[in-house]
Amino acid sequence: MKLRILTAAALAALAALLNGCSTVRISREGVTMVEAEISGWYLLSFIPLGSGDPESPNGSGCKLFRDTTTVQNSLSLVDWALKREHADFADDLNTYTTDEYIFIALFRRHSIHTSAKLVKMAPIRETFADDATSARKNRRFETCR
Amino acid sequence: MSLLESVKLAGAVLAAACCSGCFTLDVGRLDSTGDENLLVTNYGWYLFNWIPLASGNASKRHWTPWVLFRDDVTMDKVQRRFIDYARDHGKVPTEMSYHNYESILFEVPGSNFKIPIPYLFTYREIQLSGVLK
Repeated sequence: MKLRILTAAALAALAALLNGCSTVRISREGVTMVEAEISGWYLLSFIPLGSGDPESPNGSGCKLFRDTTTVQNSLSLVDWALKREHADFADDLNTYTTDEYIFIALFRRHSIHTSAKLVKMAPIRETFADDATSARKNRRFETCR
Repeated sequence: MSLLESVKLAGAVLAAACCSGCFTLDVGRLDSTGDENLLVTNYGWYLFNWIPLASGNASKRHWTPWVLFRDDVTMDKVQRRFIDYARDHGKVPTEMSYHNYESILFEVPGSNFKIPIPYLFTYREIQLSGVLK
């Protein structure tokens, strides 16, 4: 029985390591949407044990004994997605956090999520208008396809 | 009870819990502006947060409201249904945002009991909300 519990706990720890702590998910169905997440583990709810590396998303790397679950780091993941998708700006930004506790408050898993729509500006059409204002009005905004 | 029997029992419980359907598409309309608020959600359970056990069926045409051993809790599948609904009703989707939730401890549905081994059985939920104009 103890061996089974230890085996399950070891497999769970391996799964935790392989799952990684910072994730960027992109969906291109119709419009390009991005969902960024950074997770961190804390002892007694405030001592950081490890959290995601905002500089290498979707990997298995983590920053030990550091707290990277901040809005700034979550937005840096959205920036990473912007560059990857060659988009110009992010719209409809929405950030929220979630918490999960193990053994009452001994361990806490804290996650910060940011959702956004990536928008790519359409190239400016050439016009014969002399007025620069008219040229700016002809610029159209398109969502990434 | 061996680990394999536990996995089978968990799979059966999850399938039973999904009988009512884990995938939902709900829409409401603002009478004042005519705008519609669309919410598409799906959730499922995984082994080691990687192997899908059971989840809602995100397919447009399906025989069962749930699927086993297939991952339908993805942004692509949820967003596909969202965009298809907007297109079918001649609307433009705006103000779209995701609200995703993940639990690394398995809680037996309908109870407050959680297995205190993280990443053994995990729960994942995706919610996509937006306004159709």
